[in-house]
Amino acid sequence: MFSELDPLLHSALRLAVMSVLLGVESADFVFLREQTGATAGNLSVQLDKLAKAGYITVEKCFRGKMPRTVCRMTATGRDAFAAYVAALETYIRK
Amino acid sequence: MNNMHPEAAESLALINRMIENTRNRLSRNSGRPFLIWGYTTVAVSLFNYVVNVTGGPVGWSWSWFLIPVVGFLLTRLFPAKKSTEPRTEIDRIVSAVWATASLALIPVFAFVLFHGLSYRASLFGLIALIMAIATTATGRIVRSKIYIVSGYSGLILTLLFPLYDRYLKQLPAGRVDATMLNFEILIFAGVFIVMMIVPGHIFNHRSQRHVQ
Repeated sequence: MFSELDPLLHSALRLAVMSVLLGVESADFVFLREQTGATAGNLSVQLDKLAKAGYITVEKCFRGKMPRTVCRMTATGRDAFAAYVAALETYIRK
Repeated sequence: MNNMHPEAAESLALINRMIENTRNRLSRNSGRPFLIWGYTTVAVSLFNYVVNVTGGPVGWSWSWFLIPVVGFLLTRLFPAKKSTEPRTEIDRIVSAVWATASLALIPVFAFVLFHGLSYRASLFGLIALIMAIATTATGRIVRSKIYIVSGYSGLILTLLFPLYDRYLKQLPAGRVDATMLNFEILIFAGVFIVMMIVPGHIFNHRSQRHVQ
C-alpha cells in the first residue's frame, strides 16, 4: 500500500526549497535562488504556493536600504516534509 | 530546477543533494574565525615575548588587549559568511559556546590578578585551557574531527604550563629569575598555532575543495 505523496511537495523546485530551509533557521531569496538555480520569477511563484499552504513564512524586510525577502519553514512545513519523506520511503521499499 | 514531478528515488536524491550542497556552501570559510583569532593571538604573544626578552618598557604589556580588539575588528571585516547566507541552529550553538568561553575569561583575569598571596595560577595556562575546551566543544557540535583533535591537543598542551612550572621549581634558587617565565608566552603561542591556526587552514582547504 503506497502512501499518497503531498502534491505540493512533489515538485522539484518546491522540494528543493523545502530541503534547503530544513537545514537553516531562515534563508533569504537570493540564497534560495543560488542554491536551487531557479529563475527569480519561478522561485517567487513557488514560494508563494508554499506560503499559502502554511509550509513556510515569507517576510519582506530591509537590510540597510536593500529590500530582502526572508523565508522560514514552519512547524506545519516540517511535519509535511517528514510525512512526504515517510511516504517516499514506502515507494522505495516496494 | 523545474516544476516537474520527480520519481520517488529522484525526490530522495534531490533532498539529499540540496541538504549536502547547503551544508557545503555554509561550511565554506568557516575556518576563518579560527585563523583570525589564532594569528592575532600568536602575533601579539610573540610581540610581547620579544619586548620582554629585549627588556622593553613594562607599559607595552597593555598590548595584550590588542587581541580582543584586533580579533573583533578582523572578524567584522572578514566574516565567515556573506550577509545573504543563512544561519543554522549549529551556528547559533557554536556562537553561544564561544560567547560563554570569552565571558569566562573575565573571572579568569580576576582570579589570576587578585587571588593568591603567595602563588598565582598561570594566566596563559588558564586562557589556553578555556579556549581548548571551546575548540573541543565546537568540534563535537559540528562533528569535525579536525577541531576535536586540535581541541584535545590544546587540552593536552596546556599541561606544559604546570610541567614548566614544576621544572622551574626544581631549579636551584639562584638559577631562577622572572625572565624565565617569558617562556610561558612561547608555550601559549604554540598552543594557539596547534589549536587554531593549523585546523583553521585545514578546514578552509577542505571546505573549498568540497565547493569546487
